[in-house]
Amino acid sequence: MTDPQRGREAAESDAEVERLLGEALGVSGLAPERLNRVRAAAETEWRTVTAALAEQTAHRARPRWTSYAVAASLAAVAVAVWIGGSVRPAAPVGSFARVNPTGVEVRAGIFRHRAAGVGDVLRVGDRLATAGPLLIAFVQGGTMRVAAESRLTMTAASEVSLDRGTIYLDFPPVATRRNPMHVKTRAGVIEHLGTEFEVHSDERNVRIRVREGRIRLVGTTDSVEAGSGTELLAEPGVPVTRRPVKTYGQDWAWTSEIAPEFAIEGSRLIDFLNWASRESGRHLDIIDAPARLVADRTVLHGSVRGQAPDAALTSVLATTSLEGTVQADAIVIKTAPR
Amino acid sequence: VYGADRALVARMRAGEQRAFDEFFTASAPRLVAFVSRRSRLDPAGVEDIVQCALIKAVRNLASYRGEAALMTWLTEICRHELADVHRKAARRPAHVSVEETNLVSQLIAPTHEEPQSIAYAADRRHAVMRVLHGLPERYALALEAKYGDGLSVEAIALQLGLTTIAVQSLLGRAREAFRRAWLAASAGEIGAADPS
Repeated sequence: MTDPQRGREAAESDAEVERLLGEALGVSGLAPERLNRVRAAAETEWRTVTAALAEQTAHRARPRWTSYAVAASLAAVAVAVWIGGSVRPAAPVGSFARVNPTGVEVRAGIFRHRAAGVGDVLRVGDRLATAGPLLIAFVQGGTMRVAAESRLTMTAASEVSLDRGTIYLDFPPVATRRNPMHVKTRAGVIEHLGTEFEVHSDERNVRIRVREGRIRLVGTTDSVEAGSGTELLAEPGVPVTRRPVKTYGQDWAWTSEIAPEFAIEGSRLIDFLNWASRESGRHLDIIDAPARLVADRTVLHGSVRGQAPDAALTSVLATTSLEGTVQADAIVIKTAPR
Repeated sequence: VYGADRALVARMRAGEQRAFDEFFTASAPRLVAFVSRRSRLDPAGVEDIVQCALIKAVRNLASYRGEAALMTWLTEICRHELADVHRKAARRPAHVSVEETNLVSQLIAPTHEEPQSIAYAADRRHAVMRVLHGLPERYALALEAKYGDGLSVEAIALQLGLTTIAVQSLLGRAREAFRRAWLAASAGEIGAADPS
């Protein structure tokens, strides 16, 4: 024990024993995306096991059935499939990591619908209608933010069909290589070649803004690629137009409101700064060597849960010897004057 | 005694989605805490162990007979997974070629230096865990459930198959045993540090 005398003092009363145990035994949990991966793996295994079990049971029972009973059962299953979308839910593709209190309605099949909450699973076939913004964490890695008043359908594990509203996808390069995410819109299909982009669809056109990396839009008349800082406007039957767009600022503000939370406990300051930089769409500029050393060596503790990236950056820097300023397209970090 | 756990497992085996949801929500965070307290693994390591344990658990649901709480059964699986990881780590060669790229980068760029207070907190945690491991297992489990997982007396009673009064009494005895062991360990270190 590092400080036995303190330990001795801390064990003088029941209350102090409780405090000591609470401090020592309390541990921070896994980040939501890690827990989602664990869940998806366990659930997939569970489905495999229960499906095999159901098959065995059916196999044993089959000789006793009459052909009439078999036909009746098949008819009942067909009706159930028609009514419910599917007897056994499809495999999970992700889960709801953040949900605005105004909520989201999820529909699966013809009659089944539910209000989704944090931790609920998203499956292929689910149709979402959002009243407020929400964040989805995908099993394959990566996230999707959905703005209020949007409607979309998960048509496959790596394909979303956007009927109306705005979504923002952020996929790590590894996840993109393995299984690129596609967004279907009425003006064409967008393939995710890089990491961050926004798609907005309304009754007039489809707008794609690329914040980082590259995307490819296969439209109804042409196929175009676009890189960071580009906006594409697409309409069915009309050539795609493009213009430059800022990767930071008010246009992206809605994505900050529903950004994935950064678990600062045990993280290096530099990792947090990189996260804040990506979330704001501004590059990180650490202008003096001592500041770089501090950013690299400082380990953070605590939580910035519930704070938007900008607010989190201010909170975290206030606890360090560094100061930061936002200058147009950069977050500038330097050693604070003593 | 563990009827609710048996019923939950039966519903899971019947393929009921809500049963799986209940199972995962109740067990996964506690298994994460269980592994984190017993190891110095990083989040990826903890994730791997909990994932392996849960996969083994759902694969072997038929072998759960309700003789112990479901959570106890799951923590046993986790314990085996942890032991496997430790065994494999012990078998790794002590010396690794510095030509391995990732090792070189680790050597060149040490990730961080932890402040003294962090080291103190980590030492303290391991000291508490050492003392807990020295207690009768029932005491350690009760204290961990109460102060680590934040479970109510009623929830601990369900897990241990006891009445709430028995759990309160058990917690009282466990706290007392912990206090004595903690003081003894502290006194031992003072003695070791200052023989005079």
